[in-house]
Amino acid sequence: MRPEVTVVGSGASGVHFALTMLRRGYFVRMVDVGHTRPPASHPDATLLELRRLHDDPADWFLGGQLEGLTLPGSEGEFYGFPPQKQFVFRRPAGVPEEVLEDFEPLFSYAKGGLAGSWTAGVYPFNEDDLKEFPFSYAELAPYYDEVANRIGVAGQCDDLERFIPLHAGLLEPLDLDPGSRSLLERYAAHKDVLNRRLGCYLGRSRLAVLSRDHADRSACTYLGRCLWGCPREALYTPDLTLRECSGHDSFEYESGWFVEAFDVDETRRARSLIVRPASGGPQSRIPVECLALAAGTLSTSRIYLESWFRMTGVRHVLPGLMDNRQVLVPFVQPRLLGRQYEESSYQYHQLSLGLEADRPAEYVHGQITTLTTAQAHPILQSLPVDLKTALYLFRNSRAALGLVNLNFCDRRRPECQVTLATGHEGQARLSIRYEPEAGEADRTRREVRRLRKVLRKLGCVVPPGLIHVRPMGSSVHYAGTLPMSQAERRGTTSPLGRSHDFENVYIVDGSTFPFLPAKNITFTLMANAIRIAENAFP
Amino acid sequence: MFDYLVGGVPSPYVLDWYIAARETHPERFEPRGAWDRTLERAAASRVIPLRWVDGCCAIFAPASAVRRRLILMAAILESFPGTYRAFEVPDAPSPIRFAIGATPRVVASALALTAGTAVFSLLYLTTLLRKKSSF
Repeated sequence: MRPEVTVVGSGASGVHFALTMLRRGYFVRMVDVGHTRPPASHPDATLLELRRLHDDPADWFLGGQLEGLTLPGSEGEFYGFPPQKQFVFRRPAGVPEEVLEDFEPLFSYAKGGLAGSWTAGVYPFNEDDLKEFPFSYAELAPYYDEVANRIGVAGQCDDLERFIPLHAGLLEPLDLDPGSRSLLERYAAHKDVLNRRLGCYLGRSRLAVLSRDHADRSACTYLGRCLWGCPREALYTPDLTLRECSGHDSFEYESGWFVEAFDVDETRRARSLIVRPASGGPQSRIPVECLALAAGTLSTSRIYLESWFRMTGVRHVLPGLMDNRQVLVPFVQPRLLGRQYEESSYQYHQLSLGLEADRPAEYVHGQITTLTTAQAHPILQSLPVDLKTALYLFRNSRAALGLVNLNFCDRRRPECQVTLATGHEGQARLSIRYEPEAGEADRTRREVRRLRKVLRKLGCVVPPGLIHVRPMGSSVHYAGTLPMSQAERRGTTSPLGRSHDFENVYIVDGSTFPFLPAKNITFTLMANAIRIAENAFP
Repeated sequence: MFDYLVGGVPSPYVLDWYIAARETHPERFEPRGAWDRTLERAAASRVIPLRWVDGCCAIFAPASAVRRRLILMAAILESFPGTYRAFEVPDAPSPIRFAIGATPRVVASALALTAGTAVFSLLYLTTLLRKKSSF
């Protein structure tokens, strides 16, 4: 009989853990809510063709409930998620709202998790980023190679290598759009000043997007539809790996279940998952032999806290919640005014930049996105002129517009924590509290000032009054509540993700990260999940 | 509104979509308060040019019903094959031509804003005085 492991969650960590365990001969059961992606409409059509071919194009762009419409005075982000990605965030019936203090998180209950709506940036951590981890870069590096081989990563060796190590299997970079090309040319011309005086290095983004056919997936054909979800699966999402898992006889995917907790026996071994139907209904149980929690930091923390509470009657606090602070800095490239933007291009960031810091791990990571097919109406309404004039200014400057998304690292601190609160009818609710680090605002201002100088050198203008500091929780890079630790402390795990509190429970997602560099963590989540699957089990 | 944004007459598709969206989500497009209603009436009356109302709202009442409805119309138009070009295809094919084209438009916009502000200030004062005299 095959040994068995039950995985909770089908996000980036869960699917790569599951696939590795399947390849190692285990029987894997995955329990998930599993909302599914709606089928792509006219999957081979460009965005322009889609407008003509679709029976109801406004419905495709704006959605039946106007989910894709951003109105002035609406709270929230500048751009919402389009109708095609709403499935990622749909809440199961009866799941209580969280109690939030200075934190605005996103949760996913979809097949593939939050990475169903990611921007595909893959950035391996380097030795400096991993200093607080209980393993070295050399120990993690082979698993980066393995992930790259599974998902396909486009990129190249360039100046960013000083922050972002190279891994095996890098595919050729994607074709650059004119806005990004122009920035890269300016960078080449002013490299010395940018490197030496401003500590800024620019290069191609590493992207989980296929620049050539890879395994059973086809290369990107530049349909211009990335923002609405790649219809050709060239942009990697974890549900593709879930599909690969489903090809194994020893894989069972149990969707439609919201996991509340697990119960344990007297030796603190998890015996079963306590679940509820996602559509509402009574509790039931799914027996487990060995449990791997991969529901994402916040959901994993909730399951862990609820299980601890059921076992002891005590509401535990998990300190150390981390997230990347993000600052959005829009810019204009005046030399591109009046040019037609290129619809047939990759829509998310094609370039990245690194700003050196005194302490290497505190380097600031920036992703540069040039505006292509994104909807115009959210931008039009933010211009301080009538819409007729705004429309003229916008269509003639569209190709010249861009945005830098600056990311800052975060450290575990006791004041940033998750715990359980009681909701109405006695239901447990996740309570999340975040407090920015002292001096964070000063540091952010300083780095934005430096970025302004960088952009000026690159021939760009930063329009006044449009820089936006995103609320904590927006980056969706949550980590740190159940950190890996050599010491056997409560609320921690071993270096191989095994809980120090429960005998047969492993945490394989970002909860276990003891430090959060400024980079997107998804690539490292996948590599770490494979590392645990390869080394923690016989 | 259609004519103001892109010129011409709206297709039945655009009109139907606009009406359906407003009817399905009245809470998002109806005026919120007396002054918002005044702005809406001013925009609908055509006595005051829509550009004046829009220009004033862009600065002083960005979340007014007038702006919300204009943004809804803009969002439909940029999705529609017959009108998306107004949002995407430049008509000033160089930075210099852009500057030449933008200058008179921005000046006209500023004049519309000034005129609109003057009219609405008078309207606002009249409303206040009427309220006061009714006591």
